[in-house]
Amino acid sequence: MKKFNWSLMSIKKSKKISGYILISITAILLTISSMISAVLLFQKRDVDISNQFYEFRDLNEQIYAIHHQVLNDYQNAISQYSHFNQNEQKELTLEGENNFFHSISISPSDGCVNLTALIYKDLDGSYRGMELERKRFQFIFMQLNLNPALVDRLIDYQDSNSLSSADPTEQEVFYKNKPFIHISEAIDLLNLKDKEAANFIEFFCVNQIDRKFNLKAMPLDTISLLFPFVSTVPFQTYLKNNPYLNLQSIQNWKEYLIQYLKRSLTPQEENFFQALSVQNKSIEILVRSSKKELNWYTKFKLEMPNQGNLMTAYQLGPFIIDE
Amino acid sequence: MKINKFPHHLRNTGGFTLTEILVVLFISATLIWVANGLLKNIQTISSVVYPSGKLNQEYILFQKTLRQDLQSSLPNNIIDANETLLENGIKLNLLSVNLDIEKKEKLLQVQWKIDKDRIIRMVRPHSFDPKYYVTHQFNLSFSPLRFEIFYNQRWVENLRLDRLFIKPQAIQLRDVDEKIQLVINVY
Repeated sequence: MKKFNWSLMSIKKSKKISGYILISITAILLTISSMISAVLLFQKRDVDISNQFYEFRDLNEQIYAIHHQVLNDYQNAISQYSHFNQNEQKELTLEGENNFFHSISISPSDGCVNLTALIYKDLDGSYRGMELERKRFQFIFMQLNLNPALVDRLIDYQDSNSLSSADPTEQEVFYKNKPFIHISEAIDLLNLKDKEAANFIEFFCVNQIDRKFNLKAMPLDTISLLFPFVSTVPFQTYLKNNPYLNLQSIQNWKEYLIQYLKRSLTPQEENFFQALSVQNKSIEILVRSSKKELNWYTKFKLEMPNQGNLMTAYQLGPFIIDE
Repeated sequence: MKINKFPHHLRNTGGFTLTEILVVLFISATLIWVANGLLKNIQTISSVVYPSGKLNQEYILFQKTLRQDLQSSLPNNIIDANETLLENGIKLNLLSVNLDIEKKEKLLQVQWKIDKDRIIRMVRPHSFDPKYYVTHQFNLSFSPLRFEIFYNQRWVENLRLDRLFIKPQAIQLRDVDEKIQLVINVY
């Protein structure tokens, strides 16, 4: 009877112990599996970083090759035309190595009002504000509902002196003493946000070598703002109704404007043609590259000096973009 | 005299002791550690290896980030070094154009502080912002730091163009006298 009781107790106890076995094994398995998962997760992250880097390196080499190919092609083109002759957007596609695919878009980048036209380089090497362009820019700013006083800030940032004609309390940040390189500098300086910035980019740009505004690549909205002595809206209607795209020289443009005004131009008015051109001397190349589900964005800009080799004003990217 | 009251076969089916669990955990951890090392080695063999023979993901990330910043920097950069061998760190101030969340080009003021044992990347999103924000910190050590920065200067129509040209092999690590040198070649 005693023995029987012991056996019963043992069975009860052994059942309890079996419960511990299950818990112990589960705990060990969980620990091991979580450790393996953690290791694999870190490994995956490392492998991803490596792969992204190797893809980035491959892409850089391909972009470098595209850049040089475009440079060579345009070097030949400018020896024929003495300018890029690229007044409209051109699209190209290219299959790269290692499953890369590039979509290249080439467009003129001087069909806009150039912010570096606000200054000129004096004989002593310093940059000074250009009074005539200051007036034109103030007129354009007013038409675009922007504060015309901001034009002085654009000049102050680029000119060599540390005097501020706009605001004597301006911070040092406004004084770069060099021409703009990229339009985003002006947007940052004027503290323009979203819609204002987008509107600004539509009309303005930055080109360093040739500061002229290319009328051949310019949209009608911008052309109608270029002459402070002409009312914008009626002139826009005139431009719409009378062909202007076939005007081949600045002299043609002067005659066109005389025809519109029905009077001759004053010497002061004629001066506003100084910054105008019909030749394309700056282009932007946007390369959209893709591989599987990854997309990159690269942009570079070529500018044409009067003599010598083409210049690359800047390259941006490649930046990875998720689409 | 104490008699063992449990039959032998029942005693053996008991749960693991704490010591047994710890031993198993220790063995598992050792195995995982070895497997981890093995995986890393496989990865290293199949990758481009930098001069010290180790692949460092942090270095890769650093190289990529710095390269992107240098590549997208505007020519009016202020770089505190020009073909200089520095023992005590270097600071690069770049005016860089990046894409914002809406994929629009945006000016960004970037500062790289490169010390002997760590590298910090900071950004100031707007000129009006008073301070820089740290975006990356890399615990990398290079000794000594060597920066080779070349400017491409041209004078065209009274305007100076200073462009930093970065070739695909711009950022390299060199093993000189068993010391790793970080070299940035900007043409």
